Amino acid sequence: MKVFNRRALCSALLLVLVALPTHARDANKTAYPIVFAHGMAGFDDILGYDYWGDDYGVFVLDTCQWGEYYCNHDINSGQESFVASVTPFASSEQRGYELYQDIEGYLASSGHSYVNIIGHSQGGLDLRKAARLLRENRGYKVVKYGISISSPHRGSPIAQYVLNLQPGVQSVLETLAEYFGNTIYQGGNDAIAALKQLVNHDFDPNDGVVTGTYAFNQNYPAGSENIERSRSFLTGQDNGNMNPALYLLKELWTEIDGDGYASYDANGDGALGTGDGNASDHDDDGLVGINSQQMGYRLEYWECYGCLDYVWTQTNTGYVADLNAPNSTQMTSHAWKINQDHVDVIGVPPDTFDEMEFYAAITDFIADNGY
Amino acid sequence: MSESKSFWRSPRGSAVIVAAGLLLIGAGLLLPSGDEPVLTNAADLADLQGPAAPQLVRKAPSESEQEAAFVEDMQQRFAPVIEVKHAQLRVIEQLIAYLKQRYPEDWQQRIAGFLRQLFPEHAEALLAKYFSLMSYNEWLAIERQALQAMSAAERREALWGQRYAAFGADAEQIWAAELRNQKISDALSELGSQPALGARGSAEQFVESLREQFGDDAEALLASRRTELLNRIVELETVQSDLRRQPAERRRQTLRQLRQVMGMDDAALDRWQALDQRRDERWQQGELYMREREALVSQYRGEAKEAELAALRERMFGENAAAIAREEQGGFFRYARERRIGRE
Repeated sequence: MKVFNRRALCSALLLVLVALPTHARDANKTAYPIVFAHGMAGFDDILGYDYWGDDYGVFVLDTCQWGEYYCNHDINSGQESFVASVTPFASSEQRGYELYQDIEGYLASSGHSYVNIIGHSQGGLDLRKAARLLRENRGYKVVKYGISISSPHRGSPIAQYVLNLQPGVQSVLETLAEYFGNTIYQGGNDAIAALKQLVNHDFDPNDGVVTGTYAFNQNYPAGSENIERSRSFLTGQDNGNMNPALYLLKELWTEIDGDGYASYDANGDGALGTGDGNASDHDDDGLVGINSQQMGYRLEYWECYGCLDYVWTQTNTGYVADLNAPNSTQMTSHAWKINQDHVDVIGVPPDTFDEMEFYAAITDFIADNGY
Repeated sequence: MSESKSFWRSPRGSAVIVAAGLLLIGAGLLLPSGDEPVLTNAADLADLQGPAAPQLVRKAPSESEQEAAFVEDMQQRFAPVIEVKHAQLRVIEQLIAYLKQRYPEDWQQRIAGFLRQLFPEHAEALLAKYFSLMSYNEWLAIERQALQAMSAAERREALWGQRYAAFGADAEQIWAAELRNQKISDALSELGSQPALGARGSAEQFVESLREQFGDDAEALLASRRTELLNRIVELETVQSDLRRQPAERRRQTLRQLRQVMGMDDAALDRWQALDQRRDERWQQGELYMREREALVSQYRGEAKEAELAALRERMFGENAAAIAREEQGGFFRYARERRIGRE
């Protein structure tokens, strides 16, 4: 596989940017609104912090009115977006259906006919189901860009680990409550279904239902049938820089070795693939191994000093259309991985990741590519 | 399109873009590996050309040039707002990120020097903020588990206590957006404790509360997040109870009024009304299906049961039967739970 020479590219781009008389900062407005699909647990609140915000509660696509400061100054003032909210702990069958309904409502409010969806974590699975339901019920492909960030498309070892906790269901709930707060006990949540969703295989063959990412991927594929362009960001980070919440969780629960190839769950950790024998080589983001995260093409995020950050579609790891059958490169390559943990890319402090610029760059990427 | 961004659309910008593409292609970066995409739609290939990159490549920039670019960028971005406490925190965070990447061994020792270079007149204040942020983050890390075990109200109190301890009164400026969000959340919670308001009354009170809290900014706030706020009101248990008590036609009128109070125009109200109608019909059908399904499940076993259920789904849902079957196979029965009126 070709290795990207980031330093050379950065240097070349920087040289030009230094030479420019003006600096490009504002993202262009997308043709179609951006819908945000959150991950497990929070809607607008994870431990008191806004999910789709910077670490201080400013929504990442809050447009600036005249003279306003608490907004994203890097986006177009006419940018349209919608923050969906689904049941915090539930299967993606349920959450994807709810996301579909939320988008139908937003389309009624706004008058739009198409959307782009950005899904974080489980939100990346949910968006695939929503895209299918939208196409089937409206008779056309509604979702232009479907972009997942840090999504466990092929399972997360943490989910299986928690499900295997003894002596059973109650300890699973208590453990989740310890990490996610008491939301888990609120009506409508089904933590067990949520966790079973994020194990690759059917966790309990005797429970009368078929769960897991493998079956879900068969029903709700990536590719262009339901989504015009499927893309994904991968995240991975070493323990030293990981958010304390995740580091603690990871150290106490299980160490993920998430960058080995296998066509099945060879190490039995609940995620497709296996490890490479080294669990501490930045091969996971605290919750998800990198071999689980690619959907469609990978996206590269490049932080730019002197211009708006950039997002590229990168093709050298190929395209994952069949989410259950990525090839060796797609499961082992660290190319284009963002060196952040699972929650750095959303508003959970402490971190130094610039959420405002990241989402502005995604907005600009979508806009510049016609959607 | 913004003016600054329009550079990239100008002839010079285009030349830069083309040259950049050539540079990248020359480096072999855009060439796909042997894994050719399995695509069924040419539209999926349209964003693969790569974005902007430079034409004026004469020499690689030195490290000092790169550093100068960073400093210039930070000054351009933050100088106009450097008095704002939240902006000061963003400066510090971005400086930390830059220094950690560039000087991983001794980034902390370089903070003060860089702050003096970036914003000399504010350097001491920024350095004090840096130490406050470090102290606050350290507290967050230590107290993480204790915070998670708290109720939302207790957690908020603990967080704000520490924010005031670390940043003093500046905390309210730093987390001003969170305070704004909290006010909205509090207004919604207040509504939830007043069942007598009903659906329309809840929306009216919420809008009034927004105007009281945010004055002239209330309309813009409402306009920017209208559907999200509508959803939060509609899902209140007090509002749901009121809606459930009403017959379908009256309920649709109530929802229309509620949305009108939230500022939706006639076109949006009409689209919503049509959606409400479709949803009502589906739920009527869905609830009937669940009753018939229950009877079949108690009557049949094994393959016969599956065949009967498949026939029932086909009869009740037609082309949507497969979607319902997939959900049931995964353990989700969309019509078995209590309907969230106005949301589905």
